[in-house]
Amino acid sequence: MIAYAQQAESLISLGIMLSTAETQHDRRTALIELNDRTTWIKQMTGDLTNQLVDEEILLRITELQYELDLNIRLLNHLVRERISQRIEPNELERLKLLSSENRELAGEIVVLTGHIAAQVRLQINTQSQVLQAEIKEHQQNLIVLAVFIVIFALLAGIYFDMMVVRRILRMKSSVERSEINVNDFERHGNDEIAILSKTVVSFIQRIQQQEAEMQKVNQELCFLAEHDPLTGLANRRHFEAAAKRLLRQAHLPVCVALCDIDHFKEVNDQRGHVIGDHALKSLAYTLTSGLRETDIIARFGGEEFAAIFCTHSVEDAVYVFEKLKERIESTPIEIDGQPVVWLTCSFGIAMVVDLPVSAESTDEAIVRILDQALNAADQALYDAKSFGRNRVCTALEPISAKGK
Amino acid sequence: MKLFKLFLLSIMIFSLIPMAYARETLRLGMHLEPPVLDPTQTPAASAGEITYGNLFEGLLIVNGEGELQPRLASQWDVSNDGLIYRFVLRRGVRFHDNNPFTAEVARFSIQRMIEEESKNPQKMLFNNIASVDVEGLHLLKITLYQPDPFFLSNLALPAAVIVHPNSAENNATHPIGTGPYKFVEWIPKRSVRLSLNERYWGKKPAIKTVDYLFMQTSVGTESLLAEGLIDGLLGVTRVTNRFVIHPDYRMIPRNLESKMILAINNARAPFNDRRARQALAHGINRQALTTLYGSQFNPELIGSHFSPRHPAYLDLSAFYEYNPDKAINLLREAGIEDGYELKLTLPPTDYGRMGGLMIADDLESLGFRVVLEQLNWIEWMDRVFKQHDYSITLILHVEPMDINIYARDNYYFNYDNERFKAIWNNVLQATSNEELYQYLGQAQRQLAEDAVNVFLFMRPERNFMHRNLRGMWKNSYIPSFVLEDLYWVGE
Repeated sequence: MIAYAQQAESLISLGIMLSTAETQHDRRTALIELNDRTTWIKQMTGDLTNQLVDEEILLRITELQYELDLNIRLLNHLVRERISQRIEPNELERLKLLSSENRELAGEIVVLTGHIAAQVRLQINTQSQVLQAEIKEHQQNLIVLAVFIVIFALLAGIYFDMMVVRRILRMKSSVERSEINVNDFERHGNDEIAILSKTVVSFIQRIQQQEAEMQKVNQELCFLAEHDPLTGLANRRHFEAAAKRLLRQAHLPVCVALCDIDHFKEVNDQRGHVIGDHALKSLAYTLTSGLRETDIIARFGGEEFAAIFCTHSVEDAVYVFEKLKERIESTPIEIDGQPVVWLTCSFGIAMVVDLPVSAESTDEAIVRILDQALNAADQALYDAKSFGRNRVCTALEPISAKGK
Repeated sequence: MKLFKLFLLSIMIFSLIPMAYARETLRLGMHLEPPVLDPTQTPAASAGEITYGNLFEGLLIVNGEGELQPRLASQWDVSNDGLIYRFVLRRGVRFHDNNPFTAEVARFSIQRMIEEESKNPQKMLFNNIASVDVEGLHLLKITLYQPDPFFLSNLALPAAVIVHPNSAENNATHPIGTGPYKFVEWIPKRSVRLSLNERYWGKKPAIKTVDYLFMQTSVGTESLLAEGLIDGLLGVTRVTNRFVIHPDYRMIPRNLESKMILAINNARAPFNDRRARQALAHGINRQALTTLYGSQFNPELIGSHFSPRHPAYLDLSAFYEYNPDKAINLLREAGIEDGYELKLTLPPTDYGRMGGLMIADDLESLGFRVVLEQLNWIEWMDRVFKQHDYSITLILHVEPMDINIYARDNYYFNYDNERFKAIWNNVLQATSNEELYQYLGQAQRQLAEDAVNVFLFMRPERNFMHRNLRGMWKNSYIPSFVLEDLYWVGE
């Protein structure tokens, strides 16, 4: 718009250039420049009709331009004639008139275009202020929106963290715990994670149930492996393991005893296996009840039993077995309250002394001591049988744990 | 932690979206407004400059490297005698109004070009077509009377683009073609707008909307350039040249064959006399005129209507040396007295305004009383080109290899010389390049001898472009401004 007014201003000087041209060249140059500007100003004025500019003023400018075009054409013609010195004196007057008219027309155009330029500038200023206000408002809206988005994103993140990430992590740590407790898991809710949690719980419960069953079976298998099925006493293997533990831990002398039922073959042969088995069970009960709970008693096979326990002296041990011997011979084996058979037993006792064993003792050394003690007890049992049975014999020498 | 990273990533992606946005509009300045937008109906090159390759497509196109390439025809073959051309046309091509492109459409378009009442500016180039036949939905046969070495390249001219029978009538003001851009609006004396054709059959260009602004005045051009309101200007002048120092602009070379001439009405006195025309040839200071473009250019002088880049070029630039005395003598011989009033008609271009002043001075020193006639382009096309109502006019001929216009009847030069027509006939029937070049040489010399026009110089070919605009076609010799490869780089 500034150019619009400026170019209008140049119309005046170009008009003077045309009027006062001394050569055809100067005249043509002024003419071409003038035409270029009037065309452009017309074009710009045409553009203005779309804008909010006073229509009357535009109309007046258009009129002025039309007059100016005519003026320039006539002026150009007369100046050309003047330069080629073919002009009549009265035409010279007309030229002067046209020249001042040209200045007037151009001057009016300058005033009006200047007015329009100012108006447009004012409008542009107002518009730009409005725009700036709008921009500011939009900026504020944008900031609010941005803050809202950030908050929303954060909340969404937190919500996601709470609702998804943490729950999954909790489930993961619950599963990783060595003792899985199903109460640690979510058991309520209907979303995917709750469903997953419930599935995991039911899976864990299935595993735990199976584990419990396996443990029970295992315990049964262990018991079967270490006990005599008929009497429920420990078997030889369990006896040996327990005896080794006892020997290693004992601080008092240890008594190792073997017991054999006298003439049991005859009971079996004459009264049958059912009676025999019953007799064995009864005897096992008698032996168990005659000893302390912590003492170890086992069936070695057939009618032979073994015991091992701590005691203060060989006399104490002999006393225990004498009492047992008497109880066995005085108590018949009963079935349904009816005495069916009378039994007696022979006992061989060996003592292990010089306990405790040194802490560095190897398993082999302990086993050796046990074997020696069992051999000695066996010898004593043999002696008891040889002396006529139903008696308690003691090995001549105690076994020293120090390996003498 | 992972969640936080995800959050940051999403913020980054959102903030990248506006950065990836590139400008998709373009505003180009043009010196001349075409009278119609249909290049098959007007000799005004500006119609082709706007529409060629953008809005309209021909069977062939001259690409950015100046090579002849298939466009609406995907392939073709020529019979051994050079008389029968068979074109396989591209399938799936639709006009902007959704009408399909078929062999029948192509036949209509070519038939329209060659028919008796055709207004096609290059009609004469296709006089050699004997028949056009549809051989299949997408198969076209063209039969020639005699072999024509220029036939295929003629089919790639803006005047030979394909139009549809349903829309051809309205193409002048509302053009409908097959190209990657479609017509949006034409505000007379101001601008033409094209926008991307989303359903275009070929590669999609990057620029979405293009405005061609018509520069009617030097002041207006300067003002638009100074305010950076245009991204490019087709062709430079001394006025625009000084904007090279503007940091937003740069000059891009072009490869056109634009010949600046002082065209003469050979049928109107006093220039129906060869001596009068020769006087002009001697009397115009061509060397001085070349300053029209500013000091860094040194336009090449010519002596005939022919590009120095063509192998058949004959250097006739010194055929008429600058010699005002000789010119005045020739004028007197032709009976032209001192003070003869001569009207110099000028087109509304920078070269018209500035060159016109220089030529007027030269004419004046020969004793003419010069009257300047400044016309707008529509008036120029009508009065000068159509009605031949002029004596002399300064004008630029941008069409490539267009010496054939001198063999045309009723062309605006009103040059009618049987000898030249005979030479041109020989050109058309030349069987070897050697023969062809020889006849083209004869043609150039004939025009120089007859001083048909004052042949001035080759216009320095530069476009004035925003420095961030890339992909301009540089080596196409077709006066055109093909938009398909243009794109903006970092702003």
